[in-house]
Amino acid sequence: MESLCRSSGVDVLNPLERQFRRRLALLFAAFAGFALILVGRLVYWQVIPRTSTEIGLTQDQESAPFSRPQRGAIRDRNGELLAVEIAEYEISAAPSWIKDAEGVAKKLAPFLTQPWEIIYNKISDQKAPYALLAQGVPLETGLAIEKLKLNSIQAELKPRRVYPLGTMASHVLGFVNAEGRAFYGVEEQYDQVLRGQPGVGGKRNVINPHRFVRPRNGSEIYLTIDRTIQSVAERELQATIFEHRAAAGSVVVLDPRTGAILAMASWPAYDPNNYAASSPERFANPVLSAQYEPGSVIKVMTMAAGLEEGVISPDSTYEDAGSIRIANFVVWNWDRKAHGTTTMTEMMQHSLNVGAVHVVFLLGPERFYRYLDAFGFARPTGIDLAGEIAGSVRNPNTPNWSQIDLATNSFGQGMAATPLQVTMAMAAVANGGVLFQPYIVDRVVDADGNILETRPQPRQRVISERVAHEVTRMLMKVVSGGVHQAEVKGYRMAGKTGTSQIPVLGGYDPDWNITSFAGYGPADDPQFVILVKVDKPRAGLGSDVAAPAFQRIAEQLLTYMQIPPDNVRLAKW
Amino acid sequence: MVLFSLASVLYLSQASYVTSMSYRIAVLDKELQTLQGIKARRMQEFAEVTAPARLDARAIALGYGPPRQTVYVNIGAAPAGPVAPDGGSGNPGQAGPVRDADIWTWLRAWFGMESAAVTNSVGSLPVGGWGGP
Repeated sequence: MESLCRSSGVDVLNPLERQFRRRLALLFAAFAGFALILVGRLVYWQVIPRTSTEIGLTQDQESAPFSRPQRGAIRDRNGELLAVEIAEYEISAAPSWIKDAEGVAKKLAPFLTQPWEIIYNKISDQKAPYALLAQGVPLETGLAIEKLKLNSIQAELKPRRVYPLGTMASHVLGFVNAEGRAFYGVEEQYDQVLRGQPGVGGKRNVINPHRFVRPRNGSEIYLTIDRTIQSVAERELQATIFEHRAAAGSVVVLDPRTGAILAMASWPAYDPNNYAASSPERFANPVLSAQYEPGSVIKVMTMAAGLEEGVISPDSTYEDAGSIRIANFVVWNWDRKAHGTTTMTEMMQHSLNVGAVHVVFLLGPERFYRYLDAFGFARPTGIDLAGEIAGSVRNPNTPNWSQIDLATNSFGQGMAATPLQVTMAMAAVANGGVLFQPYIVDRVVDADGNILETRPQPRQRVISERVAHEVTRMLMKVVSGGVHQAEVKGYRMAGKTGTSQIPVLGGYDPDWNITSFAGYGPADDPQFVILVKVDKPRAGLGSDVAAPAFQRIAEQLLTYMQIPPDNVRLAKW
Repeated sequence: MVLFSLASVLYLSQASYVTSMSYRIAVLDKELQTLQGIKARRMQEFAEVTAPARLDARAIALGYGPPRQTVYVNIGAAPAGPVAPDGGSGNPGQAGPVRDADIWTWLRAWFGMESAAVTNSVGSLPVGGWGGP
């Protein structure tokens, strides 16, 4: 029977065997299908490139060590550190997974410098999925906790920007918040440079399945600021403000030969390490974000314009009656005294408003405002810092401009300028008439060590060298013949005081004023320009409040910069 | 089937190699980050301990203070004192006389006219307290 069946080609199986074979085939098909799905999935992950969204979604988890670049440090011109990113640990726990809470708490306590009972209270709640144990844990401590290999305790690295010098140069630096966003100052202006580029992890193709692009650390920025000069400026500014019980103040020190800012100090300052503790009004840099009426310092520019246009000379005279009437207004000298026949040099020495009005009327509005524009007023200086404002100067094209505007502008009232603009204008005179572009970043060094240096940029010649020297000689007489508070023993200094009223709604504040002194030295070869501005001192003029601060800063600068006294430098033998 | 198996083995071996290397890179990267962190911390500490305000306070506590007088001493027939950098751009008055004085002194010395008295007078230029505007 069996042989009959085979010969006929009919495979005769018993039903049980047939059922077994059918099940085997079904199982094979199921396995094959499953394998196919697996292969398909493998092909999908390994061969097909991921979309940018997928990369973004998985970047943090998959390539965490590769994804975060270190933010570049900020240093002063000599390489001294001003800002750096440090790594700290955040220690957290998953209480629901902890079996021996007391044991874990006792192990962690010495590292977290907390009583173990406090830690125990945080991690003993078995229903809590997460508990934050400590933040800002130093790197070494965090590494030690990691070595404990405690289950359910997570030690996560968190970057934090620190400013080792505290409040020093806070307005220049700005700050970075806990989320890594930069605000104000160099931090904001150069955020893209400092930030670097995150790395990318992920699969690219079969040949190169794990493509890692390492993060590129941010560049280091070297400022033109000198930490020592900044320290001197801040210390003297603070001392002056406390001495005169003033509300605020600023000091700018720059190199007139290049436009490089050597120090930029303002008070009140804030600590960028703890910015949240300060009022947000303190964050903006008053040197370039706050404007004021500069007062008599502007007489330097008025005089320079008059000399350049040939309408006056240092020895030209005018009749000073103590006041001058313009339409319905009367402009008075600050001392309300008539000085009679007065030379231009004497006018500068005594800071006479009537004389400045005399010069500006000889000049006329077109020429005067052309010079103010050339000196850089009413437009941003273009310094590489965030938040600069333009200031404002009304001119004949402005609605409601009148001759009284021209008159008051000649001695720095009725116009608004930033301390930086005033310093730059003074620097142009100090530098033989050439105005430079101010800058605060000296060089940028990228992660590969490539250096990108800032080259000083002369912006324009404002006045001739001859006139600049004439004005300097006049300003030397201002110091030697009147403002003795600004004199530095052994050196000739040039400078001008300013005491200006503060505009309020409907007029000027009757109680308070702003005092300032802008000067440079040594007068024959200026190597620094200093502006000291003090807001709302209890009493006193620019010569009493700001000039002594100028003197103290200049004296220390001359020593620090190793500038020998005039009798040594200019010795003829 | 054999070819497929060979290709699979080849693929798996290189994939596992890449994976192990990736792990190694990850470990080294973490180590690098740790070292960078330690370096940053040391930099911060160094900046804090050398902060001008801290040094000032420490110096005052030790009894130091600003110099009362700076004395510049010129030795022999050498040019007097340091010369302003760049010859003093914007200061032709300075660059001129000092340079003239150099040549003059040099010529006097060359012809043997430089006397001890002159040298001494140069060497003892009083400084730091007189002159002034």
